[in-house]
Amino acid sequence: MSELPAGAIYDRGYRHYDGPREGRSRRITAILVAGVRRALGLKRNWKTKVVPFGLIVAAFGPVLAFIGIRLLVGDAAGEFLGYADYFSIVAVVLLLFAATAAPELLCPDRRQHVLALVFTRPVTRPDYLAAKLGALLLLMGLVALLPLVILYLGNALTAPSAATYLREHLGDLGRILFAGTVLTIFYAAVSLAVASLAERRSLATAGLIGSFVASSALANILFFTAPPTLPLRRWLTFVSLQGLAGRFVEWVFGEPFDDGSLAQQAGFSGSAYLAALVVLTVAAMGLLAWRIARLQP
Amino acid sequence: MNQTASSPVVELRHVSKWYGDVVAVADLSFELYPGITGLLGPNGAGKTTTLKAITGLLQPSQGEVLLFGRPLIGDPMLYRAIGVVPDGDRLYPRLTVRSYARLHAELQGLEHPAAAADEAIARVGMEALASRRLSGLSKGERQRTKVAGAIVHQPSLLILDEPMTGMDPGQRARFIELVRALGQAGVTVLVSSHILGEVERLATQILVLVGGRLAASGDFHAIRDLMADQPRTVVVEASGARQLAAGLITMPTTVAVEVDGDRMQARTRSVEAFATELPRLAQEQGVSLREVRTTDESLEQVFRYLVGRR
Repeated sequence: MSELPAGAIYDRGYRHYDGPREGRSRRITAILVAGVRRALGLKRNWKTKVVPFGLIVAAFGPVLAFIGIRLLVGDAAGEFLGYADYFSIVAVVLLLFAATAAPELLCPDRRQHVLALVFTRPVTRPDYLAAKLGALLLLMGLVALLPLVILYLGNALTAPSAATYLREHLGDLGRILFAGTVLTIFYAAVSLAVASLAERRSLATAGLIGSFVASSALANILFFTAPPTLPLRRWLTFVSLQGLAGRFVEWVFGEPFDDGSLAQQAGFSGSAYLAALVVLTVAAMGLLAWRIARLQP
Repeated sequence: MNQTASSPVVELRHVSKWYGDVVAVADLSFELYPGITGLLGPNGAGKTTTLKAITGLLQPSQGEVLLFGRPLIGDPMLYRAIGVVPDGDRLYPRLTVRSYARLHAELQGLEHPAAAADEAIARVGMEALASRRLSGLSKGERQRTKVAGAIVHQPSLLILDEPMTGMDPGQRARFIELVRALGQAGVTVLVSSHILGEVERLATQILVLVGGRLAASGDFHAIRDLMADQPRTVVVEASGARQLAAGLITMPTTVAVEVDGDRMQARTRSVEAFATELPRLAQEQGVSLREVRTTDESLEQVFRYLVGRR
């Protein structure tokens, strides 16, 4: 039997790493996690946390307050906002969240000239796009879906019979998930597409909020000042970006459009607004992919 | 990477890149092998374009770039074998040294990113500053951190674009030591710089770009030898320098001779002929030679010549 050597010296010098490598998902996750941290201002000073956490509080605050009151005083708390009404709050929060988080995810990479660092690693443009989109979808999904799901569960738990509520309102849960998912994808795609056009975060934020607000105002002004006989006048309803989201949610929850409103007078069904959201989302994704493919490191 | 000793790590074949009517580099062909190679050239010579073509950040208008015998564009997995330190201050300022290195280890898909990051940080001598944010580091420390991010996966090829710009002399000395250690460890290192003194201390192999074209490549001493039309200066300290000068000036290869006491400075087109004739003359005239040396063997001399002759 051969004797084991009493000792050994190992060469710990520099040599090329040929060991196992993780797959594509690891690379995407690394950029995604860095993006989420950046968008939330984690590991940075408190000022960078004010806007993202302020918006999260704005999304969750009302529903948590309502559930708290219902738990304290029971049915005497009365009826809270319906799901469609709550979505109208969430849509504003989503717009503001997207307008601040999307530029935070994309603009600094170009402004700080770090793309050369990323694209000289085994990271492809689609990996980069997937990571940035994934980070924003994750954060916005949190804001769009979770408060509504909590509201739904809160309604169930504070109802006289939770089981009855869940059975009778199961469709609402489906509608919450459907509307929340569509809005999340829409705002994420559009905001990233706008952010991909600007190098400065402030410009991207102002551009996104401005285009949503201005398009809404423009659609109403043009519609209500144009002569009713003007051909294609009713199509002006699709110019209002924020209006698309609102009308879509109202349609999903079976709410009628407000009397005398642009949407009501335009006469389109809610599914037309869903189609418009899909078209805009696809166009925004196309623009985003085109911009990222042409990024100059 | 499976690479035979004789096959080049990097190979450029007739690479040209133009932007509209502007030609950035034209018909570049060269090969890189393990060791340190300096990429030199005045501003606008095409150094960064060449490095971008090698690192796959731009597609050449013509020609091809092969890394380990394969084209990089369309094969991102080749980045697993290369490390790149781009020029400028390209960093995420909010990250710490450790999180920066770890991010790159994750982008490389390493199985143990934390351990790999710590090892790379130790290799560049940044252990004491590993928890420091990048925004709080000196220029030299940031460059070392960038190198840590680039070597976290222990690449076979390391490309450094103007890595010493903005460093103080102490930082430069330490950085040169680090890169030399990597070169000695068998890494193929390509370092671009316009600071000739540093490249001279770092690399013996050079590539000189002038006006987007390759002006010279190889060992810079060998390049100096090829500069036949450029006279070389030889300084001689001898007891009878004036007598020696009178004999040397009759040589057809001697261009000029200056004498100052026991010191003579001659300019010759053939160091070989000078080296043969000098001892013969000294013996004939009974002159004792105390010192004979050439003075313009520097890289700067070579560079000035190559840049000036276009």
